[in-house]
Amino acid sequence: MTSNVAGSGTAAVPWILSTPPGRSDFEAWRDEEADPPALIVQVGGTQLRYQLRRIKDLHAMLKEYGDWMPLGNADEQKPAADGTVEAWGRSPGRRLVRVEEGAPRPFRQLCAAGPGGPRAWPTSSTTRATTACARADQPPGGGREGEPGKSPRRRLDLVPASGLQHEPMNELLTSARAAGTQPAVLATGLRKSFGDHVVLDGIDLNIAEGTVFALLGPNGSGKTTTVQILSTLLPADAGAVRVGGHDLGSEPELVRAAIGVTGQFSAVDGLLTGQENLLLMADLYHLDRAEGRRRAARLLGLFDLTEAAGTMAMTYSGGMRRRLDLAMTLAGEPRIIFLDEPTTGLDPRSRRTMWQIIRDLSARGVTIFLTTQYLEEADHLADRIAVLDHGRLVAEGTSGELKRLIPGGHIRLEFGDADALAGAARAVGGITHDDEARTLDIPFDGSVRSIKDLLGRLDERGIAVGGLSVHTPDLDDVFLALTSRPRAETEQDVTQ
Amino acid sequence: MSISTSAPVIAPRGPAPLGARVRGLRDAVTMLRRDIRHALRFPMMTASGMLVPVLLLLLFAGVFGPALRGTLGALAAGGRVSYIDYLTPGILVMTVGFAAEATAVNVCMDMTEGIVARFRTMPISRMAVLTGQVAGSLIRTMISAAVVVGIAVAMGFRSSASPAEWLAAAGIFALLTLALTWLTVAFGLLAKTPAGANSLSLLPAILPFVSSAFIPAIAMTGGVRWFATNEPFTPVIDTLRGLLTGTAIGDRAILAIAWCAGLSLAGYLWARLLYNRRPPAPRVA
Repeated sequence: MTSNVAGSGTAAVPWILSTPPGRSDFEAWRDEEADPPALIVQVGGTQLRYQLRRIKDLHAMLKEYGDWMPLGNADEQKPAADGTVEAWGRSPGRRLVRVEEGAPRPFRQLCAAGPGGPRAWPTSSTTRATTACARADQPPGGGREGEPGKSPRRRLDLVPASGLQHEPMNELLTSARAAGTQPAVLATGLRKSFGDHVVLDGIDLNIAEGTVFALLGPNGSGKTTTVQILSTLLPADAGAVRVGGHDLGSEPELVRAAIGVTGQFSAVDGLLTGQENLLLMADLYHLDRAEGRRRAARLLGLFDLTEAAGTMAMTYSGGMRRRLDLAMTLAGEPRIIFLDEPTTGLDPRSRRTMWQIIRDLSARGVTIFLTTQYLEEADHLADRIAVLDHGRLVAEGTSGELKRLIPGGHIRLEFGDADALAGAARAVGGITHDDEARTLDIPFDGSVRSIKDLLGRLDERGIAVGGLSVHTPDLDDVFLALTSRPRAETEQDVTQ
Repeated sequence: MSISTSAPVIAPRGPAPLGARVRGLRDAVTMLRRDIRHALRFPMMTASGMLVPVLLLLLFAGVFGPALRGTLGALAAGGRVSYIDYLTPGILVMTVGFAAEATAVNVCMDMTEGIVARFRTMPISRMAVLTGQVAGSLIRTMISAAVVVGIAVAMGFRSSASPAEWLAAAGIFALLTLALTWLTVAFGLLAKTPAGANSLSLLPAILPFVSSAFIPAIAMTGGVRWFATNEPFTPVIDTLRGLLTGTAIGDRAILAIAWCAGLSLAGYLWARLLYNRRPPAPRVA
C-alpha cells in the first residue's frame, strides 16, 4: 500500500488510547455527573492527556493529528475477522466517523481487507462519504516504541478513503429486480443536517415489501427525521430514496399515494368527532360518499371506537387518540405505513393492542416501518431491526443476528474485599465495573464448562467468591454496546 | 381487538383519476367544510371578531358622534351630514380587520396540530388547507358584515345605493377580505404561537383608525394626514362610502382594487412560501 498517511520513518502515527468522548459524555459533565471528558493520545513515546471542554475540542484535536487515528491500545487492537480495526477519524466534511465492527454492510464491504489489502476502492460520483480502513498486517514501524513487557506495536497503515461508502441506487435496483422483489423502501446515503447539527449522516435502508422494519435508537438519534424524510415531510440534503417504487424527489405525489403516516404526535383533528375525522380522510382520498361512510364505520369498529364516534377527538384518551390516528392512516389503504414511536406514552394494555394491530396489518401484506425506543417492541414485532445512533446505522439485522453481536454475555463475580477482587482480576482478567461494589465481569460463552474453569482457577489461588450471577445477552446489551459511550477498551477482547 | 383478515387485501393504488385542478378544488372544498365545522363548533371565535366592530359602531355613533358631526359638518361642503352614514363604511372595513385577526390565530393553532403534518403526507393539493381556511374566513367575514350593516340600519344608517351599487360594494368588500385574509394567513404561519399571531395581525385591525374611517383625512395634520390619505384602507373606505352613501368616488375605486389585488397576491405568495418551508414540528397535543 502506498497511500499511507503515516509511512515508515515519517511522522509518528498518533494513537488514541481512550475512547473519544461522545455527546453524552459532555452532557454528563455539564450536568456535573461526570468528570470532564478527556482524550489520551500517544504520539511517538509520549502520552498526552487532553481535557476536553466542548465537542469542538475533539474536532480540533482530530484536525491536529490528522484524518485517521486508530482507537485503543495498539496491543489490544486486533483486527476483526474482516480486517477492520476500530478507528476514529474526520471526514472532509469535518464529521466524526467511527469505523468498527457492526458498521453498516456497505461500509464493511468497503473495509474488507483480504491478505492482499483492501479491495479496490470503487469510484463513483455519488455520495463521497469517506471513511478509512486500517490494516494491521504490516510490520511495526512509524517511529513508535513498544512499552516494556509488551509485544511490539503493530503499525497500522491508514488509508484515506476516496471511495464511496454507499452502493449506487441503480445497482441496488438491478439486484432487487433480479431477485424478483420490489423493495418498499430503498435509501442510500441519506443525509440531513439542521444548520451545523448533523442529524443523519449517511443512512442506507433496504426494506423488503411486506416486512416489519424497526428503527431503533435513543432519543435524538435521528429516528423521527428519518421518518419525516421518507414520508415526504422533509427534504433530504443528500442521498437517493425510493419509497413504494417511486423516487422521493421527483414523484412525491406517487409516494404520498402509497404511504400512510402516524407520527409521534397525534395527527387527529381535535375539533372534529372520530367519525368526522375518518370521513375527512375519505373525502381527501376522493372516495365516493357511500364508500367513505362504509370505510369509516368499518375502521371505527376495528379500532373499538364505535361508541366514541360522535364525540370530539379532543376529549379522547391517549390510547383512543392513537387508535383513531392509526385508523385515519389506514383510511387510504396504504401499502407502506410509517409509525413513529407508535406506543410511546401508552399504558401497557394499549401498547399490547397496538402491537396486535401492527401484527395484523403485517399479516395482510402491509409493509411497516416503525421507530421505537423500546427493544422489547422491536424484538416482538420486527422482521429486521436497524440501530440508529448519532445519525448513523450502527447495526442492522434480525433480532437474533443483533444478539449474536454480543456473544455469550458475561458472568458477574462479587468479592468480599478489594484484595480478592484484585487477585481475581489478575487471575482471570475481566472488567472491574465498580471498585466500591467489588464486582468483576468476565466474558461468558454460555457453557457450563467455562463456569467450572473459571471457578477452578479462582479456587487454585484461594480466592473466595462472594457471589456469582450469569448475564445472558439480550437486545438491551446489544443496544447499550452499540449506542453508548464510552466503551470499556477490554470489551474488544470480549468479542474475540 | 384484532383486524379481521377478511378485510380486502390492499392493492396498489394511485391517486384518484381526476385532473389536478379539479382535485385541488375538491380538496379545498373538503378543507372548507372542515373549517366551517370548526367555526360551528366554536362560534365564539366568529362572534368575538364581530363584537369589536359592533362596539365601535355603538361607541362612535352614540358617544363621539355628536362631537364629530361638527368637524364633519365644517369640512363637508354644506348640506346635512349624518355621522352614522359617514361611519358605517369605515366600521365595515374594521370588521374585515378583526375577522382577519381571528383567522391568523386559527391558522397558527392549526399549524401546531399534528393533522396538518398528516395532510402534508397525503396525496392532496398542497395549498388546499390554506385555501379552505381563507374561504371559510371569507364566509364568516361576510356574515359579520351583514350583522354590522343590520345594526347600523337599526341605528339610523340609510343607504342611497341601488342593488347594483350594493353588489359592487360587496365585491370591493370581498376583495379587501381576501387581501387581508391571505396576509394574516401568512402572519399565522409566521408566528410561533397563537398569541404571536394575534399581535402580528393587530396591524390590519388597527390601521383603519388612522384612515378616513372616523373622520376625513383632511381633518388631520402633518404626517398623520399624509399617512391617512395614502394608506390602503382609505381608498377602500372611500369607495365603499361612495357606493353606499353616494359621495364622490373618482379614482378611489381603481386605487382600492389595485391595493386589494396587490395585497392578495403578496399575501398568497408569502403564505405559500411559508407553508412549504415551515418545518413539520407539531407540538404535543
